[in-house]
Amino acid sequence: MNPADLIGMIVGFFLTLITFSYIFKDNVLFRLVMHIFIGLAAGYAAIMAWYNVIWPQLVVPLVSGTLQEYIWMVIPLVLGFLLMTRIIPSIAGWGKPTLAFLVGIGAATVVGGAVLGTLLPQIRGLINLFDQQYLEQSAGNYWNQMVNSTVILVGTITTLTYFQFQAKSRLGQPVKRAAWIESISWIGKIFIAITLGVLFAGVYSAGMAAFVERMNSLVEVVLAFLQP
Amino acid sequence: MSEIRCSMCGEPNPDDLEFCQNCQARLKPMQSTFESEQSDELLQQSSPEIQGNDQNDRRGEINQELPSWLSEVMSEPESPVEPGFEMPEIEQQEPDAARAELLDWLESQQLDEQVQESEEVSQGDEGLIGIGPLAGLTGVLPAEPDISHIQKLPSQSIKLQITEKQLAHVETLESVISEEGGYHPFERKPAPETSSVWRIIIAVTFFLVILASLLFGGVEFAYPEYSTEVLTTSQLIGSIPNGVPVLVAVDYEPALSGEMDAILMPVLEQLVFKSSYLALVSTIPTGPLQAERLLSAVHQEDYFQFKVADQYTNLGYIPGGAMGLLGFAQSPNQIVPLDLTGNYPWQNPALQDISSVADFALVVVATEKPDTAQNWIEQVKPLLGSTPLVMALSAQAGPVIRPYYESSPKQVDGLVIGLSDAVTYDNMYQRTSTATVYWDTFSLGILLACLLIMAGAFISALVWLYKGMRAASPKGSKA
Repeated sequence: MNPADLIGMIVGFFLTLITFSYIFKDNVLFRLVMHIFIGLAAGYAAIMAWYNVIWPQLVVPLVSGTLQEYIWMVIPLVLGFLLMTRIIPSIAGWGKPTLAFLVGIGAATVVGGAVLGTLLPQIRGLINLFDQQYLEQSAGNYWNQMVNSTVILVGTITTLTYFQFQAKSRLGQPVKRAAWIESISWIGKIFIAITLGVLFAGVYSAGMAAFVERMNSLVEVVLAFLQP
Repeated sequence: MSEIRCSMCGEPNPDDLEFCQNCQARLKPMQSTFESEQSDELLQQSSPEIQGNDQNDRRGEINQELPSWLSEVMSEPESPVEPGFEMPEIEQQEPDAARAELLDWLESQQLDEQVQESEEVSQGDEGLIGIGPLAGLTGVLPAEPDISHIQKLPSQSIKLQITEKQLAHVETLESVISEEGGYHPFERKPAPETSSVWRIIIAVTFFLVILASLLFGGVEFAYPEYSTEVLTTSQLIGSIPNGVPVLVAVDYEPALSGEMDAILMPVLEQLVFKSSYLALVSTIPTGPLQAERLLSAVHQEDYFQFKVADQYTNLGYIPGGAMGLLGFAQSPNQIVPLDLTGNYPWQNPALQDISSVADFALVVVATEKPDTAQNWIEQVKPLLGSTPLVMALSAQAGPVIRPYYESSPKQVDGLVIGLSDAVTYDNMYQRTSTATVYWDTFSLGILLACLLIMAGAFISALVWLYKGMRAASPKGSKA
């Protein structure tokens, strides 16, 4: 084991122990570790942004690129400087065009992706679940697949109905949804509860795997020092 | 005494006034010279007694209003009529009839308050001003437009006519607004009784059990059964030719690297075994570092004989989130021109034919966040064409992404979810990677957690029943 790995292992050992001390109470050492982690992550992100983005994609084309590259790079350079003016309150408004450009393009990309990449394909997938050809070619039993598809359909509809908050108002009476919507959304509530339970189990499972990995690293450090 | 109502302001004025006392608007129409002479003659014929003073007064008034040069012309004696020229005969009328006609004419000039009559006058005599200070004159521009005339609007009720349903909506809206703005005293709920003692006891229990399992082993859990998604993933990777470029996205934070390294490791090992050329990339800044660390761990496995420098390139960080991903999918060499070491990687024989993400033989995405996985599916998958997309996911992201795999047609072609799938992957190739090492301890921890949750639920149910019985009993109710 080289010295760098050894130092890294020892530092990691103590940082892990200090982090576990949060079980007893929030303390100064735990906060110190948190600050170290946040500082390291921010510093590494800044270095990565410079060496992986700004230098090769902006500075190099401006310094040694062709005229066409130079012209193209002036646009992001100007927009970038305009965005940086937001740190000065008196001229912060100059950064609005850049911000608007970023928000507009970002929203268009995300919304377009969500509609074309998730919403429509998932609706199509739901419809295809009841396709006879699909049901007959399914690996399992035909009726098992049919029941499975029906459960998915019912779960989708009832869950969407749960988030339907349109209600009629009557004079002197509390606002309430229609009875049939209430009953359907009650079924949807069950599906949502099951989903949240599954998500919680997944989060717990991920946390347990990370915990085991950390405990294993502690054991390895101790064993490395104990063994000759 | 009769009154004339002013057509401009509507105020009543004495009959003998020519101008309104209130707004100085003309009450009576002006007469042209010809009309004046004609009326004078009519007056002479109708009432001889008023020929003297009245006629002189009227002429005097007219002279005052006319310019001086016109007054002089009018005061000169009339030129003698040339012989042969006959004056037009003025129709002789009876005195009473003339007076009646004059009164009717005057009455017709008295504009009443109804606009309708004035409109009729305007329409009947084109160019004749019917109202205002220039009333009676023809061929002049009106002093004021008709729209400025004051008239009373018909009275309308201001009571709102609404239905009962609309009233109900109004009440609902008012109640919502009043509830929002109103003061609602915060109902203090007792803080949940989380005893630090119990927390420490549970934590220590976990520590001891996990430590004991890691140090001494002893408890063995059965490996999970083969899942279709793992089998599909393995077959997909097995079907790609040897030595082809594969894009691997290491998109997970260091906090969950313990789990994610264990999940991604079997997939990477199979790719390395097939001598695939790995192009590593990430949409988070710490991702490239994670990728380097992971590949160094694979490199330590001697049996792969993995030559790091020849078999991968770390393209580094893709900025811009979903936008950056879309750009990278369309033209990778423009979005990431240089690799992590600052070299131009796209001249490498393995990558020189790559112009879009679809040119890779396979795309593998490892992430613990459902949002990141969705970004890859939504932005990159539509551009992949026939290139399969495989995902190595944390257990917490699995339930969200699984519908993309199970839909028809598939949006994700292969899945490896959580430690259990990683162990399955290992078993398929009879290997022992990190996931298999962790499996027993991990299963013991999950079992312990399940037992603790069940025990907690059982104890809570007992406490609830005890409190209910105590409240129901007479002694408890007295207390």
